[in-house]
Amino acid sequence: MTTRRRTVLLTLVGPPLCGVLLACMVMAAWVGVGLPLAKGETWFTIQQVPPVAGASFTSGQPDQVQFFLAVGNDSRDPNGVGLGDAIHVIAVNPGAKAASIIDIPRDTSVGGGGKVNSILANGGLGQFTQTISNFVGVPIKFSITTNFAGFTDMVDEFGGIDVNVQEPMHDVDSGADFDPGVQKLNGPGALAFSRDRHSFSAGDISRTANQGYLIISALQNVQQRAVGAGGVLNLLGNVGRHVQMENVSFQELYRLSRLVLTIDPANIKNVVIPTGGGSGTNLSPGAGIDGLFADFRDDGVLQSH
Amino acid sequence: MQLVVIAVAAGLLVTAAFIFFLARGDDGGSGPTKKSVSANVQLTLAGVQNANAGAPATFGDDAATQIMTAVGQYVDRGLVVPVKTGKPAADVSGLFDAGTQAAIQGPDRDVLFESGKPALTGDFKPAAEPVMITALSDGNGQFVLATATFAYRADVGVEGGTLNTARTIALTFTPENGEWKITGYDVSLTRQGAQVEGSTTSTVKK
Repeated sequence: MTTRRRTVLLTLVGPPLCGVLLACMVMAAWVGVGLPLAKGETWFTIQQVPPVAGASFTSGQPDQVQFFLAVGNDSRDPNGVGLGDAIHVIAVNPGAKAASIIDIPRDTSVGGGGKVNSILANGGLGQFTQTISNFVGVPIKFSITTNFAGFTDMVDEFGGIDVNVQEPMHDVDSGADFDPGVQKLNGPGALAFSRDRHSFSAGDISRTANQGYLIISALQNVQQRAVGAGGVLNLLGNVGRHVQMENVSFQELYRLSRLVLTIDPANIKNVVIPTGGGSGTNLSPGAGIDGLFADFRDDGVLQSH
Repeated sequence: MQLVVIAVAAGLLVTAAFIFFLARGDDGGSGPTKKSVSANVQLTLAGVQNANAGAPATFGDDAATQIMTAVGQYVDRGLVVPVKTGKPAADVSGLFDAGTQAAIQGPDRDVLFESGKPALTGDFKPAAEPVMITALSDGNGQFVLATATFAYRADVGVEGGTLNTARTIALTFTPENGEWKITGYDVSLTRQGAQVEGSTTSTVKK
């Protein structure tokens, strides 16, 4: 991206950023070991995968529960899609003004003996989405994936994200170097926050939960900036210059954005699926996962988790 | 001598006509920036902000005029005429797209539009701030969404004094069969003064 183009983007985006798209961006924070970031023109893929939820999406905001998937991949190619290393299924319940995030660790085995993350690299976003849809048992309306460059660019152009870091994070591999407390994370900082697993005894489980927490923090940031209808369009324009979109319209994204912006972050639950042991570093689905998915599936709101 | 007088007079006439033409062009012109789109309220365009998802594109004057015309109709039919006539807003459904029809007939109606109650018994002074349009173009340079944001207020003479109403309005438009239709809205209404205890604020979003 040229300096001029970045300047224009910064000017356009500034404070009035769209909640859900930033949230989608943040929720696509991924893990893995990074190479030096390249500034890419395209970093985002949105793909609608049939069968879609039978929700009304023709005008106004969606009026039924929406399920969608945000997945970060480890491609260092600004235009590429690699391993699906950050996997988050998000449900939004318009009636309850609530949402839930189901976080799936990248090493989870969903059948066939391999890790779930490889399905994205080998089968593409469509197959990956269908796999996750089948695994969780929900109809996913569309899915989103991003890579390193796009993520950092977007966070930087947003002006950073205020995150309340819960415990010390000092990890050379990810670049995380945060003391507890509210920190304003820039793009590389947010990336490091999303990638750090060595600072926690629970490793990847904590890292995966942190990614969901970052999503909620980002939404809170956008809400605090009092984004209006025009601001949502500004962000959509900003995102659109960097993304590839398939089978999802700007109108749909606009409506979903407006809906998500009405949800109190306190009404968003963020839960990592239970996992057990497995061969190698694989994680098998753990005890209680069926109950979690059933709780998630019925109305998108986690009442008992 | 007579020829000189005629020539000077003709010259002055041409100059005056030229100045008149320029002045008229500045007032109305081809763009929608100066001319009010409401017969009742000075309602003008403050500016257009382009949000481009692809290559740079500019929201054209024609499209901006269409949006402004719809905004003017919304203000006239939805906010002004009901106060003047004492009757609920009529002929407004055509401004909205198919997906919003149910909502504008439901509980949102009382915030989106004036109802004609309480009855006008005194002066009626409506006013609006200039309208800001933000328009989004897709990757192909086609404009797919636009918002018109403005503030509207009115002082309405009613029994017991003056009722003050203030609305902050954001109307979101999308093309439908070649016409820009309202597909979403974000309207906040505050009433205070006569026939209102304290002040009330209601907000509707779609």
